[in-house]
Amino acid sequence: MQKIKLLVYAAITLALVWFLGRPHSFLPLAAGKFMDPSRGFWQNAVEHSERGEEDIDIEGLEKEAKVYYDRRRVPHILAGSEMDVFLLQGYVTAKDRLWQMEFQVMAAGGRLSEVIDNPRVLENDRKMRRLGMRWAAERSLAVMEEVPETKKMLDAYTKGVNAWISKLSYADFPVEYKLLDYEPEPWTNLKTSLLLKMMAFNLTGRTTDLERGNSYLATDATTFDDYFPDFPDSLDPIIPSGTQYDFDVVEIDTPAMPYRPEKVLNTLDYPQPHPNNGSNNWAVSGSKTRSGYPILANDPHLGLSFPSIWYEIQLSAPGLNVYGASLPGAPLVIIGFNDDVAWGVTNASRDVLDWYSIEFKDATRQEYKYNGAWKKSEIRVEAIKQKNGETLMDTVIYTHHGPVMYDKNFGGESKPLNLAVRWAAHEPSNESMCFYKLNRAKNHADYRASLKHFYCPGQNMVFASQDGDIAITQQGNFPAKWPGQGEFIMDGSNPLHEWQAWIPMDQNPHIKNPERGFVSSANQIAGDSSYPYNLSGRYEEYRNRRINDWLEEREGLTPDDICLLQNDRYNLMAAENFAMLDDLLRKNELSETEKKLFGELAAWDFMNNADLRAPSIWEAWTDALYENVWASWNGEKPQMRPDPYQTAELLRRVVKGDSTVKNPFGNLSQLATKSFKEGVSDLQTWSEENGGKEWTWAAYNNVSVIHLLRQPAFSRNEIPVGGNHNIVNAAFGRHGPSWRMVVELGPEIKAWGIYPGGQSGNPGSYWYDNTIKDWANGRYYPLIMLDPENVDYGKTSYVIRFKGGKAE
Amino acid sequence: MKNRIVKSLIMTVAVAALAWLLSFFLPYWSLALAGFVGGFVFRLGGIGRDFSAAFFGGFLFWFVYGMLILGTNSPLFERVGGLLPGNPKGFMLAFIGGVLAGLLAGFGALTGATLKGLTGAKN
Repeated sequence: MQKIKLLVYAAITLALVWFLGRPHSFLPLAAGKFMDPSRGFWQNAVEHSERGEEDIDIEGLEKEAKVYYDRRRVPHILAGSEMDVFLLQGYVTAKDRLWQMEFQVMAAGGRLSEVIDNPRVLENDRKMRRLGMRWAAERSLAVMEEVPETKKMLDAYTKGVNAWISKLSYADFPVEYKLLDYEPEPWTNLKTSLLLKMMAFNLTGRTTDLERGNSYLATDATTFDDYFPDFPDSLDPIIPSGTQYDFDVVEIDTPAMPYRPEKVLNTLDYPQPHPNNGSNNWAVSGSKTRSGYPILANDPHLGLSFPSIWYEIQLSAPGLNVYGASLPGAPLVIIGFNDDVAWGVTNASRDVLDWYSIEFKDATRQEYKYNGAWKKSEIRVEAIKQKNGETLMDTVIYTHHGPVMYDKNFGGESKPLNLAVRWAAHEPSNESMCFYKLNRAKNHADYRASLKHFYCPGQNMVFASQDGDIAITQQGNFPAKWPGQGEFIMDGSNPLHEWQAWIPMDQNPHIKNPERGFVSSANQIAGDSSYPYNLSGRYEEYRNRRINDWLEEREGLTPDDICLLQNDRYNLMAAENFAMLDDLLRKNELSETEKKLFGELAAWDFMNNADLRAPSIWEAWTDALYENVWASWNGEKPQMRPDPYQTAELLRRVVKGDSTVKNPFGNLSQLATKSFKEGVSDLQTWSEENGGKEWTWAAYNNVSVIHLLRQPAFSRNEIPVGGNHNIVNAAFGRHGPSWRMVVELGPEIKAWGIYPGGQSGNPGSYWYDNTIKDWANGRYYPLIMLDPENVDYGKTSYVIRFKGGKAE
Repeated sequence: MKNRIVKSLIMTVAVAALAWLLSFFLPYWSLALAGFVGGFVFRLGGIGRDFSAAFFGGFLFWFVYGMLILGTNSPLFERVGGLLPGNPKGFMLAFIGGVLAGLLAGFGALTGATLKGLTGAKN
């Protein structure tokens, strides 16, 4: 009996140890490990102490260095050598953001299945592997490591990250490791390269070629061209209309007949980046500012996340003194300023990802058709490890175009569809060298010299300098394409269809010190029809015009004015289209409630303010109208629809009686009225589903900053900020201005900035989300550039003194 | 009776102290080990007594430790609660931790006490 009791008690004890030591479906964390106060989440609690100091030995440091943290926990690295500054950048960034760094590169490299047991995660890992993310990162890393400056810089950064990791015990791990029950692994240069490819994917990975082809086949050629026009000059391009381009254009061979798709295709399950990834930037010449010096502004629009995509930092060493937003996982400052210049980026939005239909010779897939012959393919086997211990082996065929992402083994089971992806990010490149030079740039010539290293993602790089220059360049490695090339799925066997040449970089659109006194970009088209290369892409039509009109109308601008513009909430789309919809609406068919709501709309000043209901009414109305206008295109196969701007243009032409517009929309008055009623109904349903909440714009738009693990407990919702994705203040859902920066050049450079979140990636820290309220209210913090020769200790709260030594 | 109560209290404190010492070197399951040692050494006799003395020892250790850390006023405690069923906050987080620790120590103690009974070793 006693023996049985012993066995039972021992079994219960061991079962309890097992149960508490691993996650379960109903409790997805290892409760014993997690709740242990000596090692678990408790150890991630941080006291909000204002001041402190610390001494650390760090292996590999050449000279003594100091890192001062200011009151917002921004690290200011004052180092004695260039490599020391990158080593310490790696160290301090890992100290605050290690989990984020590793998680992001695992996502980019298709390795999330190792830490998350979920079939959807596994599927996404396959997509990233088959897209060639890891392959692209390896190719670019080889180039980066051939250049001594970038090789040393990457090595130093990696060393710094690993110096931090080597100090950690389980108790010190960021809480997300404890939640997911895994441990950090050493950082490598390849991970930095993967991070840069992740940015390239976010900004150039969106594709609609298949849907566009289906849309073409759903109508006639004339209507298609009307619905999806080449962008007219009226859309206010980045390089002002009328600019002349005086260079010899690269010659490419063009098919005799326009290329068009032949068959409707099934949808592809593709990991689309957010459609609104983009940004605003501008630089105003001293001729238009009160100080007489340029002012530069930039706000990148990306997913709003905890931890934030950006990490503020100052890097100072002999020959280098720069401040700005860095990317956790990569050295250098990406958007910022130094003692002489400032710069910023917006997405070029050019189409640099195309699909090629591949015909294999036989089931072995060892050869594919190209130029009338059979060409050898290559194989890359991806081993996707999973948390449950299994490994999925996925064979990916590579052609000279790129990896065959979709084939009989993936995404194409319903049809024998073999699609290879040709993507500019696959080209070996060294974007780090661009920023290495830009961080040190002193003038316009240095800025231009740095750009030639920047290939992908193509960016509109705005610039301003102490000596009064402003400039903008659409920089990237862009393929020279014939009209229509890459807009549908291309024929992989036809040499005419492939990318035949790159546009020489000095022929990329650029301008310096324009007459109008400012340069700007908001993801609109780069140039007008006089630019001799194909500019196919997806472009903004509203923010750019609002920004340009605003800057055009004003003189004597100050940084405060520029901050106001960055937070501008004027809904240009509503302002341009309300009158038309007002005329169409049959008000006698509206109920009393609907009339009242329309009255709110009619009194609206077109400002998308957080506390108003009118922006929500407009949004619900126009969303319903858009769906109703294009209802006939909701077929079995996926189709691309004209964007809202073009839809409004088509409706306007129908209203004016333009008979050249093919009108499947029916009676527009009926449509507008039906849509308004549906919009109101949607708002009422929304309110019921949300506990009777009022549909103020803040509630309905629900701007949120979401933790990378989608944990509501670590996220912030319903942030009361105005704007929308096509408004200058582009806050919309889980997306928006991820960093706002304004820099005034002058005898003393002054700068202001803010991002929604905080410097620390630790949910247990006060600095995790301390900036959210100020960001929502349009406030900015002064960006402090510490003088290494004369540190203003009043601006600092914590210091770490580093010296070289053995690793701790 | 009084002797038994004193012995129980001593066992509780001993288990808590041992659990604390072991926590420097071993992870959460060291609570079961501390309970096992406590049960084997003290063997109060009776399932309830051995289990409860060790349970309170384990509970004390994790609960008090958690309450001390709560004093940092970190925003973490609000957030972590959202990860768990019932959204426990502050004190409840420490309490839940204490209960888990108590269970580990308690069943460890039962195992230790039963083993001692089987081996015939005297207290």
